[in-house]
Amino acid sequence: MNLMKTTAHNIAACNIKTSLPFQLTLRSAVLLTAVFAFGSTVLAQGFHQPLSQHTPPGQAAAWLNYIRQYDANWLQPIQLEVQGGGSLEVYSGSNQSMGMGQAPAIVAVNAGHLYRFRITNLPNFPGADIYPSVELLDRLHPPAGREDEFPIPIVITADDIQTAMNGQLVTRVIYLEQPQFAQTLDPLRREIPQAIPGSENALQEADRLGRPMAVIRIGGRRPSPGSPMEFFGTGGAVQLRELPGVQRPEENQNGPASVQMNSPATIRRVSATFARQ
Amino acid sequence: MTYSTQLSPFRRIAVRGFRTALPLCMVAVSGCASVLGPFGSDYEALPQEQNSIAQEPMVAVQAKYPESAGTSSLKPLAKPEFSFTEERFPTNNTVEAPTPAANVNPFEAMARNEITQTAFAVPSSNATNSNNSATTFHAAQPRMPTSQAHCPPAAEFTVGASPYVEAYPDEYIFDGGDRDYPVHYHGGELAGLDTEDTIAEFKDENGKNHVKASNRVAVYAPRFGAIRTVAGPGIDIKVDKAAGATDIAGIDSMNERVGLDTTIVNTPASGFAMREGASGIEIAQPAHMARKADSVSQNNKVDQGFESKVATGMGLLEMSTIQEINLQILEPVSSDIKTGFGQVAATSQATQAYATFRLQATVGTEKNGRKGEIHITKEASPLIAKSGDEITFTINFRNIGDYNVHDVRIIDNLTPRLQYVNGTGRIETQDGSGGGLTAVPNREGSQTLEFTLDEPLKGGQSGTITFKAKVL
Repeated sequence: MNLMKTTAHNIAACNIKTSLPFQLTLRSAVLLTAVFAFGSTVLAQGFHQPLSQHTPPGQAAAWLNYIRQYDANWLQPIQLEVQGGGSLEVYSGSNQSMGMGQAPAIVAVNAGHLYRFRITNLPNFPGADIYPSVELLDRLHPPAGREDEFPIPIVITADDIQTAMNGQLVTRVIYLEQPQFAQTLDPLRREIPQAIPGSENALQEADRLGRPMAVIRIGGRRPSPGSPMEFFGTGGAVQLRELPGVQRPEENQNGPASVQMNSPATIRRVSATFARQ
Repeated sequence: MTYSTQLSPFRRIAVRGFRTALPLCMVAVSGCASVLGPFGSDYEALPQEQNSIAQEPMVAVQAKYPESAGTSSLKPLAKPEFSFTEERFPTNNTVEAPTPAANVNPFEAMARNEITQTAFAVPSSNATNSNNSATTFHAAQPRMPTSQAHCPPAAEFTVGASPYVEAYPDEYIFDGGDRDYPVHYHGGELAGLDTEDTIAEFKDENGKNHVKASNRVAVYAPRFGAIRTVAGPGIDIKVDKAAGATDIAGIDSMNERVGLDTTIVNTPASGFAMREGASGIEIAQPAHMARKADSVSQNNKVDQGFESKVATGMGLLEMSTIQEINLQILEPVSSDIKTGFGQVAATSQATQAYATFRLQATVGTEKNGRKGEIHITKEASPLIAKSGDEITFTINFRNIGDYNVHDVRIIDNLTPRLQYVNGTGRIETQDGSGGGLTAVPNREGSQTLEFTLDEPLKGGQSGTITFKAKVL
């Protein structure tokens, strides 16, 4: 824009030496160029989106939890799938595991919280373990009693694991498809981007296509003895549930699935809930 | 025997205003209770022109006033099934529809038989202080004929598996109804058929095209997508400035001249003449062409069926301030004021009111039956599905009129997440006549199903269309 302003000023200053039609033509051309350039910039940016995949893990969920005041009693099922299988543990607010199981597994968690998983025993990556984080932004509203049939799918591919082991950070934003947009945008889903450059806002792109539900970050970072408890999540509730259609092992069929929560003293909520007057 | 009577424009507006003021329409149907939307598009509120009658001019009305003002009576003026309603409103009174108590759910109350349809047929409070005239209300035309055996929901009504359908529509697949731009005819062609729309197109006994939308069904089937992005030192390349780029900043690159020689001010003075002298100031103001019209030259007003013409103001004014031709018309050139009715003989002391409809003034044919009209409803089973599941859709259609309807087409424009399963379409009608199915791709990547009946759909006859679609 500065360059355009300078050019326009120079042309305006030289108008003595040129004829009036030529001046008007030049001014119009510069003005139209500036309008189109500025307009395309505005359209491309839309509006300012303060949240992105680069914001600290848990911040987007905390903001939404603060705004919407999610029901803490509601546990949104998520289905964690790892290509090739593996063992998983879930953490929430502390370095103590809240539960463990085999992928694929359904874990019911609170919306508006950050959770940390540990995935080990990867058949294709012997000796490797990864610590992906799951930031749950929103929840579904399925018919009563059918919640576990519609979990939010979280798929970790072998390429994700390989990329993370190479020292890079893989971020995947899961969104609920907006049917109306899907029709007008690309009904055959041929042009819906499945990957965007790291410099772009994946959260904003997901918001354009539908309703962002979760952010999954897969990196090579591992906790150390001195790691803060924030690394393990924000302390939401966790419940391991049965995968529909999957027979549980014999030793796990005793008793219902248990709900584990940290003690209040160890729960560190990012969001705040105010009592209504 | 029913007759069609044309209402005056004023009374027609009043009738429509009454309908608009009635926000909810309750329907009590024997055997079932159904609630329709306030402005269901698949039902016409009042069949004002039931018959194609060549009419003589307005029916004559002789008006006298009742003995006791404020009393009202319900006078059914036509057969109930015809539902001909005739409201007579005072000329200068605003008639408002009475509303139920604010804390009473009319639908629940109706289910408890506390509110019936005739609850709205009460006199307005204005009737008590009207100018010696009574307001007579009649029961409003129900949006759904009471003789209908089924209870078809309105087009806006959504059948879903959860009460959160409207709150979270992105978790559902919708089919049916009339989404976005309403289905209509543009240049004789059907337009506004969006995806999800399900409509019935037919011609009535007069050959007029009609389109009726079905209700919506909502199938809970959320679908997710994912956007992946990779960030890390290996790909974090940022170019702030291209090599060789040079920024030049300085006033030496700026050429600016400010001087008066570039400014030319040309103030047009032509047309302005002034002379100062002993003779005084002479100002010429050509005003002989001034023309002004201050008011409407003619005002036509139709009041209670009578016509009066009032002309107020100055029809033509030509004014000039020039002394020689100073001519000002202070009175209208043509004043024709009639403050009374032209052909009315009225008395303010009348004690009785009679209204006589001179039926001999109406010339036409009589039609006792209701015009042909199709109601269409849609169902889906199951209402909860995942990708890959098949859903069975059932479309019920019925001619609720007495006359046949022709060229019946049932069109279902599937949403892209539904794919028609070939060979699953079925049409069944009561008389055994079948129909055809055409599935053509639509612009959204799905199909438009068009079911066409082979025979006209007779009055009271119904049929069913079933097909299966796969959830993508």
